Amino acid sequence: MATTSPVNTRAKTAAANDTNLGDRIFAIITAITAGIIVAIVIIFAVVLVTGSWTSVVHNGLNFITSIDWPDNGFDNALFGAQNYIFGTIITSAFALLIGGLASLGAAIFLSEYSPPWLRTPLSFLVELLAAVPSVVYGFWGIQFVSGFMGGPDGVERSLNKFLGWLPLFSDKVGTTRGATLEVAFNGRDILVAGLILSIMIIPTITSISRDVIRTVPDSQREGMLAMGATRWQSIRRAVLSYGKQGIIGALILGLGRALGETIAVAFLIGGASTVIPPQGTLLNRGESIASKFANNYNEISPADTNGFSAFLELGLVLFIITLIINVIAQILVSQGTKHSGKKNTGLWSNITKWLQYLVFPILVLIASPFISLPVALVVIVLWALLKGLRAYQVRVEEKGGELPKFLTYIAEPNKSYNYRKFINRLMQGLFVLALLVAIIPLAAIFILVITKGLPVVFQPDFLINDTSGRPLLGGLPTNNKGIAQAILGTGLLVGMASVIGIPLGILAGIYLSEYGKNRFGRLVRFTADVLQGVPSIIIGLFILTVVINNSLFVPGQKYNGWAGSIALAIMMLPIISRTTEEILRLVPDNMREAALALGVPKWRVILTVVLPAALSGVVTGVILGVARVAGETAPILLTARGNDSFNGLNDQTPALTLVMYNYGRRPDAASVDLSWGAAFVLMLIVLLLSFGVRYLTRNRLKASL
Amino acid sequence: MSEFTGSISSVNPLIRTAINVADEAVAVEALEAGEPKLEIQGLNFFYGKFQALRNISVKMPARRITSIIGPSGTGKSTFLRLFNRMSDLVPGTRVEGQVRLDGQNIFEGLDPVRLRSKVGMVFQKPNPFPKSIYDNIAYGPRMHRIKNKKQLDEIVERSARGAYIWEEIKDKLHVSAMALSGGQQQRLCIARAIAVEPEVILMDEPCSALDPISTIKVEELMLQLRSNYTIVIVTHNMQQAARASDFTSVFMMAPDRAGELVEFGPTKEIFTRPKDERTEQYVTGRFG
Amino acid sequence: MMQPTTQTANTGATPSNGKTAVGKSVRTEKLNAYYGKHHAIKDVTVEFEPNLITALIGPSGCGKSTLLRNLNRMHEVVLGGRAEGKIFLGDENILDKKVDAALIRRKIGMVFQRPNPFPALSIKENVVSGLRLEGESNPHKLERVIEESLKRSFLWDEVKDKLDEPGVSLSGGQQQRLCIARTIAVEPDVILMDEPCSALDPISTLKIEDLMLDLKQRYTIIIVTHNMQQAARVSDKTGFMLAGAERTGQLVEYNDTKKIFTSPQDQRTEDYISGRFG
Repeated sequence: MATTSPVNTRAKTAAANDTNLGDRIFAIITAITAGIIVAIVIIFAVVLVTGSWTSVVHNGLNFITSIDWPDNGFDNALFGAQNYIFGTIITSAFALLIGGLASLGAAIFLSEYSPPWLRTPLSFLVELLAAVPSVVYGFWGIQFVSGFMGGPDGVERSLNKFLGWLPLFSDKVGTTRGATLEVAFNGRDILVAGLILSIMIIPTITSISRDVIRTVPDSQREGMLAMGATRWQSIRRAVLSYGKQGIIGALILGLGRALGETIAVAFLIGGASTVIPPQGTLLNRGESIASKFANNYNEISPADTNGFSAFLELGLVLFIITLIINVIAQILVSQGTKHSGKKNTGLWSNITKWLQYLVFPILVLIASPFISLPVALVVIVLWALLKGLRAYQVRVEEKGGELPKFLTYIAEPNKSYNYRKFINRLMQGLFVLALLVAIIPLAAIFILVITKGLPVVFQPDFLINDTSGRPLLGGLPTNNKGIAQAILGTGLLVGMASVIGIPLGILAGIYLSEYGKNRFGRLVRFTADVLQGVPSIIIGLFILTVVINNSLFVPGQKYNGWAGSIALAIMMLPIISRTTEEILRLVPDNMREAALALGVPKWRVILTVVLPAALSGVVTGVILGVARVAGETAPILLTARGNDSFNGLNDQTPALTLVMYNYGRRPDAASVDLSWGAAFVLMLIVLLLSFGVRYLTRNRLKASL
Repeated sequence: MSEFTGSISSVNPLIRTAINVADEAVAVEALEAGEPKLEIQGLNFFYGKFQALRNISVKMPARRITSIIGPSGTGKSTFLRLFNRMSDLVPGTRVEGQVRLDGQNIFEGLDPVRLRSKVGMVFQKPNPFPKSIYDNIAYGPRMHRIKNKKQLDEIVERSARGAYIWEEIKDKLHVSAMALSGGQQQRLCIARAIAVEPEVILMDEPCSALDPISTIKVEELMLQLRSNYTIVIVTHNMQQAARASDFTSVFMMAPDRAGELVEFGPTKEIFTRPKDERTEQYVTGRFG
Repeated sequence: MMQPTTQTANTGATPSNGKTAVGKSVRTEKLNAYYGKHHAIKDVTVEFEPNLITALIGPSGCGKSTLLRNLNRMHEVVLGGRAEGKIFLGDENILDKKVDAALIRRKIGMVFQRPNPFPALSIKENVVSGLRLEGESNPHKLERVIEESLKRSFLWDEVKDKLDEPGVSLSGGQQQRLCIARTIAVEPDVILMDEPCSALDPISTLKIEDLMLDLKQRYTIIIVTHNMQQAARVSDKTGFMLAGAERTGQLVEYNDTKKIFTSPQDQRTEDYISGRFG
């Protein structure tokens, strides 16, 4: 188990006996907790596959070719999920494009341009964005973004008016029956859902790619700069090319996040209750796989064998997509900036050289349904002309001639130093812009939640009554609705989840950092990352299948708070174990060596030197995990599913996020107010947890490391 | 410009002014008399397939300072870290041959934890724990089950005095060790090491991160410690080896990049009458 | 004569620029450099002559690397790095606010302590990375520069069959010569070397020293080294730097190498070269 591998070849067994008994016991205990993570993921996959088997057999290929998803499967109707798969892909791709560019720009600004005094607060802001719960994004989107995007004077109308000739912004939608419909312009569509998704994935991509960029040694930047590169050139040619893999990995991780995002999309994508086939236009409403679960959670019932299995297959599809995406991303990020001395063989480099010429036109052609064929062709022709000009220039130069000056500028603009300087400035401007794109939504959310939510909190009885108007602690019902039962529910759900998740997570983290340099360690790390990438709705679906449908904890009671806590604990586990691992790794090896060299067994070194040195960091990691799950909606929507009153964890258990989910989309002002109030309280809890503690411990961590 | 390269003359005065180098005759005597403290025999060490050390045999006498010098990458530190089996911490390594501490092969039937309480180590970079000064020195004894407050106080004072840092810290024992200067931290680490009463102290370039004055203090300390401990020190500073060691071993890199011991002997001899051509080139600064 | 001295060199009405085969002198006047509040070097006034190798020696922390990094304005890349005073390349004050640092670095090349080839690039792309920055994409021209630069850095024979392999696949000494090839590929006037051999084995060190002696026919070479013997072996002039208690480096002595090593004027220089400290 332990990494203290025997050194003596002649006496392997003797060396094994060398290992201290306490060391072995400690290593085994931590290894078992780490094993739990692996076990969860395996059970997970088994449950999803077996559960969806009925649907796979029943629906066959129809599942991906059909767009028809009946309300239930009692009359053996076939289920088709193409619409949802399309919705998932298109919203995520859109988010990756917009959010990815903004994140990269923000990451570059933060790591390369930002003055140090600005770096910490800016990074802090971007991380705040990550702490905003999904349901708050959804609610904010519906209250604010939908407002100015949709409507008669909205942005979408203008987009359609000026760019309607691009299929992307067309207002016509064909139906299966051949009729043509006009889109509703109500601000609940693929475009708006994609925009919100873009904002939501910014923190993920930004923070990971910033970390990747930080690992690029300064010698690389300096090497480029010393040859006369402009700032931007050194970033592009030294930094980005060095960290290419890791950055692509970060983008893919962001994509994974977007694919599984549930609640915000469910709020904003409009929902495809009527059948509308995939279209090029972004102004149409749609449905993604994840949002399908949230929008139709009442239909997911085991009584309907076919329907339930079809939902499980839908979950399986999402699980597999995110699994693949995450695995690729993990591999890329972990190899990050490693560069092997592998050589490109001649043939391969020739093939790639020619492939390069094909990639661009093919990409443009793929995009042509959205930008129309003529536009795509024009782009390709212009591109080909430029390539041709370059080739011509080389021939002229080899004959000793020179191209006319303006043609040189077109072919090799970098030859002009002023052009390079201009690009340098331009990129710098774009980076600042990207940073603003990342931060402005945050400001908007904060301002709205505070200005709208704070007054609600001070309404009479808001923190005393539940949503049906009954005081939580007993007494006569009043007309004043409150959210007391939801605050209590959230507290208990998260508290129970912490009791389970924190100890397991920390022990597993210790295993990964101190003993995990072996195959099993890599497996645990890998599965923890997989589990972290699994959309939360899928975890809810898993618990629904295993716990709720079998009434596992509370006899006779299907939905209950315990199940919700388990779902949240499972979400917490990988977050806590991986951050604990990372923090422990920050403790310099020379601390461990110093203690070991004093003749102290490894397990005591871990408990007396390593953990204390990293304590505040570990605490921070733990609390981040707690904060993350406190804002979760999707898993408890499928498990705890409480609403207006609190009757203990044995019954359906309410939560702040559930209140927002249930009331946030109702049109009446009272419900909207209630949701603002809930949003305020939720944000306050989450932000206090994730940043209050971090702020308090930050200085201590710095001092101790 | 060969006239400048013969700077052996610039080393000699240093040996003359060295603080307290044992007389050559005494050194030779110590080498021949009785059991050596550490005896290395036919030692090979591998990182995976890469052989880092080849066929090293040498005897290090008790209560003497043995320095290990050589260009970087010749396996000096690797060699040193075998003596307390810190090398175990790197996965994929393999040892052949023997290192005997008082006649006992440390790779066979010996708990590395126990070995390390006999063979202490001081590292290149001062690495105090992020704890108070007192807790740093008391850490080892505490871990070895000494709980008695009075006894601990005694050990802390004795070790700190032994490391010539007591006067500087006695008024601030409960201040974080991180607040000390680099040189003080290094002497604190030495105090921490001797608090568990080892027999051998390994030092891995203990002065490379220190300023000249701290360096001199650490060197003086080594010469004092010599009367109770066997000290093995890796250094990249030839003058330091010349100033503060009784014996010197010279490591060089073979063409396949494995480290080899090319010469071992009393320090004075190594610096004035090296037997090996490479040693001569190295100590005269022809490369490295 | 390689290429014309770049189309972009718009700054230099410098008369000596007629022949690229001769380096330019670099002269500092009352140069002070700071890292934030820390005063790193103080009042350095010195002239580095063309076609000579000048060595800067001194104990670590004496500011010799800082001085070197000021000469091509790499100092300002570091957080809080700033400089006061004047540095003349030929007649041009390169510390002038109006002068673009990128253009200066184009004329004053630099080789770093640890070889830093670009790992994402092949050997040949490493060599022409400087030309690529200037937008040169003519494959024939690039081929010529690659061969010429690699030959002049004594590396051609070792790598000519594997030009497409990554630069990091080479040994440390080869990587360092690759970095030198990369530097001379853009035909600078001055080459700065910051302890170029400290990470190398003896044989690679010798090769680089030979290379320096060869390069000095065309360039001004300034080298920082911690190895006094190296300074003695290869340099024509030597500057000795030392920092006091507040760690501000000053140029203690600057003279012909021979004089520095045989009859230093300053006691501190003598103490240092005789190994009394450092």
